[in-house]
Amino acid sequence: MKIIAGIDIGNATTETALAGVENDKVEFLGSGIASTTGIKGTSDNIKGVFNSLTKVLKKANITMEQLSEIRINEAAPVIGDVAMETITETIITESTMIGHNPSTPGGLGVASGTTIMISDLANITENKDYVVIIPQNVSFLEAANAINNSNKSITAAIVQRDDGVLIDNRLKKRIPIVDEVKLIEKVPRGMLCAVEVAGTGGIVEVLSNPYGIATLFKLTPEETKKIVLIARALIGNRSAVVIKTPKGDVKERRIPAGTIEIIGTEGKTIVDVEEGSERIMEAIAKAGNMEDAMGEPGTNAGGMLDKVKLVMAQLTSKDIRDIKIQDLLTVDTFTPKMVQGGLANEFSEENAVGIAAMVKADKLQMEMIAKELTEKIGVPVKVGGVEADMAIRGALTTPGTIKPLAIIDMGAGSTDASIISKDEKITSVHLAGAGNMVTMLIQSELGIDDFDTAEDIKRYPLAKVESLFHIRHEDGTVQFFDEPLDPKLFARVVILKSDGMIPLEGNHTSIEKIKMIRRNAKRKVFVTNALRSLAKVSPTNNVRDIEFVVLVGGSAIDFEIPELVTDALSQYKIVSGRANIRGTEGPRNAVATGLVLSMSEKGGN
Amino acid sequence: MVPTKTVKPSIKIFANSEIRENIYNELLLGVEEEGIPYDLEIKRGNALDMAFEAADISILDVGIGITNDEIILHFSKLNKEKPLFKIPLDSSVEKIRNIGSNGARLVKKMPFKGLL
Repeated sequence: MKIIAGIDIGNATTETALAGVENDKVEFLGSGIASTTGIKGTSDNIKGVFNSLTKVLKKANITMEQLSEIRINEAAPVIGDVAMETITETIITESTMIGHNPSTPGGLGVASGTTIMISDLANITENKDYVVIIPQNVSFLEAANAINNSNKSITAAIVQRDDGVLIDNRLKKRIPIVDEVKLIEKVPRGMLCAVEVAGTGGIVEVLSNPYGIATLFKLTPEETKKIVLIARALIGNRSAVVIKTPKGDVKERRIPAGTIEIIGTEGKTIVDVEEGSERIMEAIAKAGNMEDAMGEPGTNAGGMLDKVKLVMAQLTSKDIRDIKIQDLLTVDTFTPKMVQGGLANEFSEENAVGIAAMVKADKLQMEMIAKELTEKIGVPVKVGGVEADMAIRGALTTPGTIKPLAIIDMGAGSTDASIISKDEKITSVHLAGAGNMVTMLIQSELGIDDFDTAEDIKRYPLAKVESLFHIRHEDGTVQFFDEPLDPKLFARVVILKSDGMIPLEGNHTSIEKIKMIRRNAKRKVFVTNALRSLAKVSPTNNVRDIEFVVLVGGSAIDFEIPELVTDALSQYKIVSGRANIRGTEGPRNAVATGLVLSMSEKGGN
Repeated sequence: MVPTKTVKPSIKIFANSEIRENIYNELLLGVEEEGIPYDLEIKRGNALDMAFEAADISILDVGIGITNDEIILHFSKLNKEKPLFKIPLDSSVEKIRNIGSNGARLVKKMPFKGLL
């Protein structure tokens, strides 16, 4: 029996299939998987190949010497990258509002008055309503005493420390108190100001209504128009402060995003990024096969595409002018940004556009890897057939499949689709946007600093730690523990990794919100690309004319991506689902398996 | 003797008599700012015994023990030897207020404030 191995070097993982061949009969002996080392298609990959191969040899109890041949994939010469730009920003001029949400504001109600430092209370003579400002050097006791003993009418308070409830509990008369205002020194004094605190479980109702603000400040219709954004920014908060200054304003500025020029076989289109991703995707579809895309110089769009091209130029050691973009996927997204001019670290959700781009590289240096590997391990290594062909061959080992068959290979860097007709004709495409783009969207929409946490949110389900002894999974089921959980996890949303729970810090306390963002990110990338890629490989360019689709690749292992894609494709009457290579491997190992099969069919030549 | 539960839902706090009041005042303020009632009683004993007994008789299952050396926050469903939080009495004012907040947050099911 001859022993052979097929090895597939992917963007993220290097997979091996090991088999024995006798009289054209193939018997699979095992599979190996290891992380890809270095960028796909470079000699750095050899370490990963070696790891993957030794793993399977050890499992199968076979030595390197017994191997008679190895095939590696002829990698598709495409690389993808992702970028994101915000296209709106919110600016507060002259400190006109405080829209943050302290966990424990004090008092209750809505009131207005003129702002005054608490230390100046004794020096004023004019009798009118006042809103006192309490900086951190004034203790809650001093503040409460000063308010109780003042002969002036004090209607509300703005406090720097987390003392709202403490002050409230010591006042003779109940007033609304907003606390934890970090930049209290920036609150303008001697200005008309309104403060509102809602009861527990409630939200502000007066300051989130433009006419509510107009009533308190006696605004003209013209002035009322200007405060619409303030009111909108305060919706959903339990407490809020609005200050009327002569020039004060909240502005939403649209950052000029620029245009993208798409050059394709069907002609040239220019589309404005501000019009949103849908319009850009329409333009891309209309362009036919894309030959290149360029952003307007000096704009965000230009910067974004240049960034992608620069990374690609460095990876492939080519001149940036020779890098041609072959496909783009754009999605509308949003990202929380700190409001410029805010007083309490307010955040505002800004609109953004996420973009994934794909460029054609030169033929990757697989021949060189094969040569180097042969020298190292003393086994003949050859470069096998085209990656897409191998993937389809491997995918056909999934029980229940038959030609004609389409596959969607959902990886980290790109989404590839191929179709094999009854007479074995294979057509394939490579599209921009895959797992890495999903991670980028999750990271930006949740405002998470590091990529790894976003990656974990993408890959694992969530749970909420409801007590020191139990968690509630995102599907509502409850799990109990014998030992108390780490206090760091208490009351937090956690990511359920196989080696433990990772707590999400900050304001990420709503499991529903995170789950929604996660699923939408997956839908925006993979459902869109499944439909796009199938339309491109379908003999009629119509998705409906495809009958069977199997999903392969790293992202097909995900706990919900295959389900989202299957659901979307079922609306086109397509049978689709996660592959099960050789009936045992799930969606992994398709290309490696295909390489082994192609070797045996050709008698090992 | 079987200890009787506190009458009102509150966090039970036992403290030794010789502690300067202004030190645990900060702790009480931490509880108060979070809006949970507490019930303070002067008692002799070590912090662990007092915290665990306090947790046991609190309707909210949360107890705090304060001695001249340390402050312990306990939860009645935990092993007595493994209290939830333990800090020295000479900790910063902020930390002492935070351990009070954490007692209340245990009741409110909100993430704890840092004690490091």
